Amino acid sequence: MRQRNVDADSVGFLAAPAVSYMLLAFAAPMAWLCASSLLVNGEFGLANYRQYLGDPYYLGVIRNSLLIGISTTLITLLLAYPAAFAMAKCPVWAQSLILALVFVPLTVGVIVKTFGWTIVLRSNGVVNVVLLNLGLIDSPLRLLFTPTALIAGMSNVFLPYMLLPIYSVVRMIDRRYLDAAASLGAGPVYRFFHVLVPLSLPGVIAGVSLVFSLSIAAYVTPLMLVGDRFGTMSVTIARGFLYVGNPALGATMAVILLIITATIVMLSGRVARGRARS
Amino acid sequence: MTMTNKRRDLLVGAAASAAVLACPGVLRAETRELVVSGPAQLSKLFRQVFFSRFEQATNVKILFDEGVSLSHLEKLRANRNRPISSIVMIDDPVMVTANNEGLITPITPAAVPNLSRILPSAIHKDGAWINYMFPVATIAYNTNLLPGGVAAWADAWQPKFKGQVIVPTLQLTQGVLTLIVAAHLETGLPFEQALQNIDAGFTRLKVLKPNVLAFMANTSQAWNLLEQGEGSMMLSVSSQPVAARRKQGVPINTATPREGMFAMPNAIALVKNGPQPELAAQFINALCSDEYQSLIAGNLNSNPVNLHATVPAGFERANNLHVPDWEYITAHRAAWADRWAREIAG
Repeated sequence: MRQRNVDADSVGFLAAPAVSYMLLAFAAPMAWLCASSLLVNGEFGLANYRQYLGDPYYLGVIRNSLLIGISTTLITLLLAYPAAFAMAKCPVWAQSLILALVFVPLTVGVIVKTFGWTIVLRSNGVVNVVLLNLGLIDSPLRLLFTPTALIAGMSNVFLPYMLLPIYSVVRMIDRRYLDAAASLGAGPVYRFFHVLVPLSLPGVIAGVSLVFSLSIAAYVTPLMLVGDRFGTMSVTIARGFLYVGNPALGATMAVILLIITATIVMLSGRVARGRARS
Repeated sequence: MTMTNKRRDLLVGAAASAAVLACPGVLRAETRELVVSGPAQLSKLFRQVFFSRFEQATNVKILFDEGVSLSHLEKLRANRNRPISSIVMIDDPVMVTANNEGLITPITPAAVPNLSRILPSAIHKDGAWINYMFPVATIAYNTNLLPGGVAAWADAWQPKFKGQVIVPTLQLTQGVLTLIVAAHLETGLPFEQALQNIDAGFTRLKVLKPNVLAFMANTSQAWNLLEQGEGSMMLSVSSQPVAARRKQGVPINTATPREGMFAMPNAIALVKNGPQPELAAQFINALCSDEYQSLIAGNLNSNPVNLHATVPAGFERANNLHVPDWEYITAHRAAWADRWAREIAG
């Protein structure tokens, strides 16, 4: 017993540098942020939360952020899920090639990528030119500075974060499970929903948590693709801290954003554990 | 300016700041370096036009710490007890805050004799800070789309410009100018009194919404939209970069709207307790001199604040630029920003 304690202590000691770094660089600022969202005129309370959550404008801002987060997550999931299976089935050389193609866009800065979208979506951009030449529209559509443009751009920016976790799980799935299911009379649809989907779920959950938390907190892409027209939580946080000198607004919004993201990530974790157990 | 250049300049700036931080004070005194904090987008022009000239004349090395006004303000606050910069060049509304917080120290006629040669409207709070140039804030337009130009601010409200007008957001310093113009159009009062009736500005700006292509927080992106013809005009912008872009063949120009134009607030101040105060005053004195001020129109496409300065042939000196009451604006900005987000942007 005594011996085991000593072991545990020495292992704990190894984590000390990381723990102290995280305490200093993450936990302390986070505690300060939470405290400043609770502090009103020198007293602690929920007044800030009551004020902002009772204001239809800020509820709209939270709704906008949730809308972006959920739409981006769903679109990237729909695109990445079949793609991950296709990738996993490719010969090894093709897998490496596709992986490289997925990684290369990640090395391009988000500003450059978003700026590219502003060119594509212009009235004389590729999308409008193609639609005009196909005779599908008579005059250029207004695409830039609309929520649709934002969701299209965000899905592009965050697609690799959905694809990679799903692919890494899918490629490890043992094909013999499918053969076994088939030998027991399961049809392709049944095999997909009852064998493949549950086995790929850990990857889906990792991808969903990543994309949702990144997209709900995105700042640059919304700013460049819709500007002020579509207020999001991250833009509101920046406004509070940087432009109007209202740290209470910034801190309160930041904590609300954190709670939403943490809830989604923890729920995903719970679903994953539940599935693993069953 | 290309992205790579910007990044390189930024790296040089950062390395320079780091070097100054790392060096002991004695070493800094020996090499006679002057740290100036100022706007990143003007870094190259400042070096070409002013810094190289001053360095040659005085054997001083100027280290330019690049950034935006608000980041410089944060640095001034953080380094309050041991400032790194001697001089700070930021927008007037941010100067108001810096002055209220005691981060800058007055420029006196004793230390800067050329103060007597610049416009009284360029000297603020008894010399707490001064404007070193007045770029014009006006309307810029795409010459392919609007070959006839724009005659008035009121034109932006015409239905034919639906979805074509680019408007800077209130987060940007110049964003407030659109509100002042709107208040002027709604009330008929001069700009100065229109500012006191900003409600009217919100009312008139709401009517503009169908014509607005976007409310922009990023000026580079906004210029790009105008140059590419996605928008036909941009309100409340500094004319400063326009001349250089026109020379490169870009189809843009600035208007001279009949209601009047504004002075963009490019200000300079001495950092309180900053290093080398005499050298810093010497630089500001040089910047106010007839010689340096005569370089402003040709190189920076802006009005000199020194009326004795010459301007090249063909440069139209804009007299009677309106200088808004930035102190009043700074005091009300947070409340206006909140209204803007609710009533205008959404």
